[in-house]
Amino acid sequence: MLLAGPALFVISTVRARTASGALGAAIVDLEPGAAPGRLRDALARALGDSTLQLAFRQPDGMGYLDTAGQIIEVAQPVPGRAVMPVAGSDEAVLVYDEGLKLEPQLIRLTAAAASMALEHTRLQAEVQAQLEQVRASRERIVEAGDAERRRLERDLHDGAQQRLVTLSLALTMARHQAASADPELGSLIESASKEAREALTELRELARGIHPAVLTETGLTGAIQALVERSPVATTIIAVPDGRFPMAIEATAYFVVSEALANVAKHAMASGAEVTIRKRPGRLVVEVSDDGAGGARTEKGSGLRGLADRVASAGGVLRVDSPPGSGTRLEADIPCP
Amino acid sequence: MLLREGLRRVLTDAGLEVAGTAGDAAQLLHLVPALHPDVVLADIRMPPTQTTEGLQAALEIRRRWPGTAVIVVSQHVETEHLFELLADDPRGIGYVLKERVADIAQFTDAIRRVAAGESVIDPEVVSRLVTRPRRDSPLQTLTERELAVLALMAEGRSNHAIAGQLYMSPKTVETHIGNLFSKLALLPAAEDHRRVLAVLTYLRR
Repeated sequence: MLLAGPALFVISTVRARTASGALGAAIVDLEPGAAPGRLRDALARALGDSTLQLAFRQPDGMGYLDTAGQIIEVAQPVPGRAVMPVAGSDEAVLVYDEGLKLEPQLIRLTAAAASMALEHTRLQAEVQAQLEQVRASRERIVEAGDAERRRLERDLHDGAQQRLVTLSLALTMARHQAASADPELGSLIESASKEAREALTELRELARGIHPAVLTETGLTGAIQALVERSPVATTIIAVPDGRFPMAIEATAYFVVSEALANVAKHAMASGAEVTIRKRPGRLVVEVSDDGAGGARTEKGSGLRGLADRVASAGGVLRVDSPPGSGTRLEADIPCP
Repeated sequence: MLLREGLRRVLTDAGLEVAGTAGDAAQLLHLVPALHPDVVLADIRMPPTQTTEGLQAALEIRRRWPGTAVIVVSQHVETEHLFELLADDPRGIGYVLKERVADIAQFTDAIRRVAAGESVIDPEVVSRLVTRPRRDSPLQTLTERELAVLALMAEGRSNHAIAGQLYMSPKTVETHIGNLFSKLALLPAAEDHRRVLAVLTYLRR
């Protein structure tokens, strides 16, 4: 037997007792992941029995169902029909024409090939399911992180920032009271006041780095505008869709633009950048391009790697087009209802 | 709330009458028709969700009792909410950063200005917009004086106030403004108060 991928070839030279007694070769061409109906057809061709049935055990104990939807009584087959289990388990069976008097070895090989194909399909389905689980779990982790950051920003705003404002106010009142009586004290309080103001500004920047409240409040329009206003490189908004999208998707889109612009500022030596976000059927497409040096790569450790991972965790794809000397174009394609 | 009481104290000391205080938007919307304040000071964030209740309340107050000046106090420098506020009629509207409350002179000046029907935009918000890096923009052709005038216009200042702040004569201010409008290809606003919106919109691009 010779097995070779991507298609599964079972080549067997078995003496098949045909009318002419010639040697026959049974080649079963099985595409990995083929639907059961196609598998049946391939097996039928290999055996030379067009009446071949491939049937699967029903979970509710209702016998076997073949690929054409017909019920098969395995214990008591129709006269003239023979049953061969596939690979020893009772999951699936082959039912063939007894009258063809096919070589038992050939039938067993065909059943083995069917078993391999079915196993392959089953494994494939398992891998898909596991991949989906990993993706879903990654998505949950990202969302948990986002929720935590929103909470942090809220706490900062309501807690520390609010206290600093109150402190500033108290210091101002104290300064007024002290200034006339004791100018030196007044001056001291003024310094303290200044410190409080600086702390407030720093906290605000920190809070925004943790999570931009404007994203939650106004969606992408306000948040991207804010990013563009703060960008150290002259940046233009080409398009941003009105309206709201699921929070996780808005967060990912915002993150893409934020990281992309940060990279432009750090590496690109660009004179300008452009941001375009468009809603397409089933997707949100986020594009950031600059006219800098190009040559951006997404290998391990680069800022773009983290961005690619973040986009992937949202089920999307990050494309990077960055020929050296020709600027950089980042495109994140994110599934979006 | 410590901040409300501190503010009340500071404003009263400065000679302003504090007619009432409210803990949330619903309370606020009850007090306005009852007390007929000249100016309402509202934090952008209020219970229950602490997102934009204050902003919504401010817009509601403008709708139902036009002529009531409103100052929205925010911890954000972002401009999106600002535009929502100014959209209909920028007269008697203020957008001030929370840290501004520590500067009593500036803060009470803001209150008096909105009460007088002006628009008041926090200088920090304007400064960020004016100093943004630009490319291929007429803003890059402005002189330092012109930029200074532009920034003060964006803050909602009158010509008189701009002249005072920059130590220019009113005539000079007018000349600068004329040059600005033509360099930026802006149509001269029919009324002074409309120019705040025109300038801010331009700066936001």
